[in-house]
Amino acid sequence: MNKSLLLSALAGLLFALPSLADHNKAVEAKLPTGKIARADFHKGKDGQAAVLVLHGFLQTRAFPVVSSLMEAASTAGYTTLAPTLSLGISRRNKSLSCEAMHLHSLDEDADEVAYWVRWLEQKGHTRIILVGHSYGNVQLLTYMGRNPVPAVKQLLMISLTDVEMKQNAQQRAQIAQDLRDRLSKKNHVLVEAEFGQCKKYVSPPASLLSYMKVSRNSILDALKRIHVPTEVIMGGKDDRMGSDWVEKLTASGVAVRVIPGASHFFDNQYEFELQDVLLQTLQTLQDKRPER
Amino acid sequence: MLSSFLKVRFPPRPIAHYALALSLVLVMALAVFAAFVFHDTSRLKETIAQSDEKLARQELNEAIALLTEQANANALAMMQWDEARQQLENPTYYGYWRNSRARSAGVISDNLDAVDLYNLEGRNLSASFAGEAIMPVQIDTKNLQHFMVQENGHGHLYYFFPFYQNVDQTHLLGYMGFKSDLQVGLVQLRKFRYLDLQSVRIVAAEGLHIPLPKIVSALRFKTINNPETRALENLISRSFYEIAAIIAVIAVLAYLATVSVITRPLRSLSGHINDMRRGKGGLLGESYRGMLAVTELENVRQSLNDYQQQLDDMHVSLAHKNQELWTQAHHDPLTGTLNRRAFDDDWRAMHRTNPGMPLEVAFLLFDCDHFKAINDTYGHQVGDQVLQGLAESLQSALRSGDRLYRLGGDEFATILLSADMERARQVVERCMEQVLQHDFSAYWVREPVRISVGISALRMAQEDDLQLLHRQADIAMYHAKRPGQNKISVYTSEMGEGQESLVSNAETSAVYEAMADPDQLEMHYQPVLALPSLQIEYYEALVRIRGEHGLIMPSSIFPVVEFRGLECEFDLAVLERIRCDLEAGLIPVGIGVSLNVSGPGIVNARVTEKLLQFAPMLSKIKLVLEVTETSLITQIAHASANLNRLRKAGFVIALDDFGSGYSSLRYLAGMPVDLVKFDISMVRSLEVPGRQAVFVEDLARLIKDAGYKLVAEGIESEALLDRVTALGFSHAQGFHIGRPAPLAKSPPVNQAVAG
Repeated sequence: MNKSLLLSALAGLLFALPSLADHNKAVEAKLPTGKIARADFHKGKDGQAAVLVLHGFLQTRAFPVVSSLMEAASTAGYTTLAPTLSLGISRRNKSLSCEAMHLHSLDEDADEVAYWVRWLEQKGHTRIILVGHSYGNVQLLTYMGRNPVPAVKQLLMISLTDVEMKQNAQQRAQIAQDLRDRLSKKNHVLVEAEFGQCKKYVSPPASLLSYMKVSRNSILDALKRIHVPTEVIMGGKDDRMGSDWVEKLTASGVAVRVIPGASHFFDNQYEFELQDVLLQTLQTLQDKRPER
Repeated sequence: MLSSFLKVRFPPRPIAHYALALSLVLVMALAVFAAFVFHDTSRLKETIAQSDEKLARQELNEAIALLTEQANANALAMMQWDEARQQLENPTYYGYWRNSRARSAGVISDNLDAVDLYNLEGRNLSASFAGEAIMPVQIDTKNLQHFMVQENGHGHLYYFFPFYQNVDQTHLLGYMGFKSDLQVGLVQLRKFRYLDLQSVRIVAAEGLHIPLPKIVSALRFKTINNPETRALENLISRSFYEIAAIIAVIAVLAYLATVSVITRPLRSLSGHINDMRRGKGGLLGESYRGMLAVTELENVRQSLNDYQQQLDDMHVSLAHKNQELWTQAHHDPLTGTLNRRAFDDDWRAMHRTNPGMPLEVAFLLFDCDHFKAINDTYGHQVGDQVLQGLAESLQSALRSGDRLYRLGGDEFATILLSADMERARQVVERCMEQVLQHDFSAYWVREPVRISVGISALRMAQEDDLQLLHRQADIAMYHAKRPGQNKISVYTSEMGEGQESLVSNAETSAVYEAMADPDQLEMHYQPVLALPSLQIEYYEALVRIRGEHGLIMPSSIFPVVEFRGLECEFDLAVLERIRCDLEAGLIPVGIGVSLNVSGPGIVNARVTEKLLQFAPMLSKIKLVLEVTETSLITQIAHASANLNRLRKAGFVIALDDFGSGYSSLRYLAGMPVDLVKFDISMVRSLEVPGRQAVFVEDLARLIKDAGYKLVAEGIESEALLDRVTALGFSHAQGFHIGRPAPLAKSPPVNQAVAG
């Protein structure tokens, strides 16, 4: 595993070399799965921390919140990297529709996060700040639940949410059981399910089952297990997770900042407020732990 | 050729035929025009159809090109579609993607029947895995081409493209293919203006691959009925039919207008002219035409009317002239009575009115007595007035229906239809009475004007009996004029025997022969006694002509002589005969001879000279020259000169027939006469007691007292002889004394008288 992972990293590095020459270009990397992933990379000032911004569920790095955060951090001199999770598709450049075949799994998503973190680390960044938006935070949490590299110094989660199915816990348990049964029977026929914001989510049982492991509680538990400073920024009008979500987050020990009036996507004027919060957070980290 | 044709003259036709012919020519021209229009329209349609087909083919080419462009666009979209690339990388669930995602994701056109992906070897991913491939299982990656195949009657387009990983097409991932229904694609592609999509058919065999560049040539199609062409065609057709209808209506209206405005009026004019030619023309009113009028025809009508008016005026004038001419031709301008021509015409008209029907007619012939003497004495102007007076009198005496004719000179006539003799006499008497009552003195005519009337009648008169009637009336009239007659004489057959010589050729010939040869004359001598001695003093020589059938009497001789104007010649012949008799010694010695000389003879130099040839005899015998008062009156001066000359020579002049004519004492006083012979009518009146006898007696005494000797004619009785003797007559003559007879040696003398 380590050998293959190393080879993949070398290959990805090799693959990404031509893109490094350009400080603000899209870079591609061949993942260990063979897929080619893409990311926007901006080389910041030396000594500044690197910021990895991850998009939400099925989105790409071109998502406005992501772009906005990237621009703000880049402008502030931070090295930024915004990868687009491949979701099992090489050079995926567009958001994946619900009806598309979702062959990806949460673990593969975390693997790609790990890949890009290492990619930054391999570029010499010792202070990496992970910034996630929406369900990207879950994928970051999944990554952080493994053995994150030490260079990851902080986690900033914007509009933290899960991808809970619309069913209640019992129903979800039954679906999960059904998926498990399918897997036990090696039945890999695609399953159509209402998942997250998708009314028709097409996926192999294993893939879907990987995402169904994530729940609100598992998120709160994961937050508790994180060793790096973590801050959650929520929009005042983001009610996807219910009105008690901020309280639950706070109760879990993470710093929660609520920007009044902002929605889940921090659009309109809240985009700049979010940028300010990001920069403040980065600055705090910069002040506390100078790069060396 | 043309000039000879132009010289041809066709027979006249009614103008309606020409109008009809013009309409037919118009219709034929219209038909030819229609043929041209249809021909041109057909050619235009054909041209447009060819153009449409070309444009439709062009549209089809453009459509195929567009479909190809769509396929290219689909190919590009496919290459940029993450899910498609995902299938080439991991075709585990290719079947689901191909059937559920490929065409419904909205990435590529939804008009594709099928989409398939092929691996680098050109193998259909469906073939590689489970699933049904409706696209080719294997494609030739070395020679990718688009083509069309006919499947189940439908044309399907197949497009195949290489599938690259990146935009710069350097990393080939595989291949992709699209299948689409050609006709559906065409329908969804665009709207066609010229191409009829429903008619697009493939002529290639089923399953045969037709390369894209040859697709159009493998298609059969029809063009859409170009709405503009159809509209143009309809417009042309409608315009043509409208024009045709308008022309037809115009032709019909023109024909009707021609008939109404020209033909009918012209026919009326023609009929009117024909009527005029037949003399039935009148003025043609405006009703000969309809509401509309043609100036030229109106001018013709007015000219015809003017002409007709002038013709009518001319007719009226001619009628007047004819009437005038007829009046002039049938009337006597002097007296206003009908003339001889009218007389003849009326006679014929009577018989024409009743053709074949014999008429009972009475012919009255009036003649003025001694008119010549009146004319000569008072002049022609007075004579004319006398004739007018006579005519007036006679006309007033006739019945209203009777017509008076002046046959010539002083001769008038009338014809009475269905009138018996008694009635005719009544008419005649009324006429004579009217004449007597007429005041001729207004014309300074002092003598009484009288008429003699001859009547002839036929119970069964035919048309050609007019001359007979006239002749008989003429004879009767001359008979009436004889001395002693009562001036009215009805023709009798006996009268005709003596008078036929008037018009008889035989008598006329005898007269002429006698004049040529006086030996033909036979003189009869009637003794004239001297009173009161009762001795024969002289004989009156009375002429006869020896004819084939006996003696011709004076009553037949003198009408011929007078009628022919032979008085002088006849006098000469008679004088010659008497001279011969005298020389022959037929006249007893000592007894004279009385010679009758006509009026013209008195004034004739030759007759005078002939008489003077008797002068030597005067020493031996007494020669009495008897002339009528009429003869004297006629040319009294000349006559008086001659008579004086003869008196000087020794002749005794006797005035004959005194009392039968004017018997004017004024004349008598002026005449160189020695003896006055009282007419037999006067002498006989002495036998009847009355005013006339007294008058005659007084007259005899008056004349005797004036120094004249008197001769009494017509002594037929002893009493009358005594009476005249008592009245102082110096001489007497009559049958009682002796009839006229030829002399042998001594003339016969009435024994009684002689005794």
